[in-house]
Amino acid sequence: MNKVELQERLIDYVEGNISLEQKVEIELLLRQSPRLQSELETIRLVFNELGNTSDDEVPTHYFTNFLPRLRARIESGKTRTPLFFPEWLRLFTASSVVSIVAIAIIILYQSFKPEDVQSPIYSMVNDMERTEMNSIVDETILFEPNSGILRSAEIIANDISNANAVESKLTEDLLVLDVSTYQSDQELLSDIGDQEAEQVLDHLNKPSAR
Amino acid sequence: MNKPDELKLIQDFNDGNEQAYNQLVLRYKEKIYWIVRRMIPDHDDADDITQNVFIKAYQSLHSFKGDSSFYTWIYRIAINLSLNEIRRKKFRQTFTIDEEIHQIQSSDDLPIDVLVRKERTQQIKDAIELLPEKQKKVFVLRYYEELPYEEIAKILHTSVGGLKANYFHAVKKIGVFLKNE
Repeated sequence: MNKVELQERLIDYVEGNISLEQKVEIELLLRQSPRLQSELETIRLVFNELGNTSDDEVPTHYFTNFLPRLRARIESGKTRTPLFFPEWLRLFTASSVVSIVAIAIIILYQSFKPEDVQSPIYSMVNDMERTEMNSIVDETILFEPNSGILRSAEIIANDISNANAVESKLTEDLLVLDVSTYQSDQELLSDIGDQEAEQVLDHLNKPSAR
Repeated sequence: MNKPDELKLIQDFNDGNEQAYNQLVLRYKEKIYWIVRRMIPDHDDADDITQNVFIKAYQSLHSFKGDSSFYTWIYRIAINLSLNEIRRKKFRQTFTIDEEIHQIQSSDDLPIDVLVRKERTQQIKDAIELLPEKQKKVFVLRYYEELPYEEIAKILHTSVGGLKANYFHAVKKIGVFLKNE
């Protein structure tokens, strides 16, 4: 029996939880060891003191009222997790609801048409935007590539004596630009102003220019 | 209560029978209260924790697998909640003068005997309170609940050898404390 086992066995000895053989063995060791005797004395003192202590006070009817108070607390707090609704299922349900709501919001947002809003201010702005858009579309058509504007400009520039067809300033501008060096309508349009472009197109539409 | 009986009550509760839960509470309320009270001297705090133990059981019984006995399971909850509370607060039991006088007056013993016993009781409580957590819970379960080491080992998930060592050192420390007082 080592020291640790002996110490543990001392408590069993005091509590009377050992066999006769073990008891004899310990008593033999006790006679030989004053230190062991001191430890035994300490253990006996503790158990003796513990036996003499008074129980803690508990209010009257505490245990009688315990269950009703507990039930009231459970009912008021709804503290019970539903049996067939475990935590993972609750999380899954919550996330599903959130997903459905999010999808519904996206669908509603996408199907929502601003034109349906009939406020006067919105209509006014909308009309203005439409006018602007039409104007841009018109200009785009006017100056669209491959409309023949470069060809017309070349004719104007070459027919410098055709004073009736073009204004002299336009002819001069086109000569300065040297339109023969341009490769496309788009290239020319990027270098001349809108007014010149319209004039060139006007010339293109005149029978004398064709 | 034997294990099959406990399991039947737990099964009934899980099937929706609240009375089965009440039966478990009635059978264990005092034991749980005293385990908690040995570790936490104040009655109101001990009462609150005891209720929390049973509420925790109410919430978690559906996950009780029956691998251990019900009392092992609920004792473990009681020990853990008590230790949590001890960590949260530093408990120093205080008696008001009014309480002392009331207790002395309501006793049949001589006032001096009551006072001496009160003093001893307080010294023991102080000594237990000063024990390290592990020794304290082993001491409460072994001395006050008189549980066999094998049962305590199941509750605390530890070895019997370790428990015996802890119990010995707990008793020894209490003894040293009492000698020095």
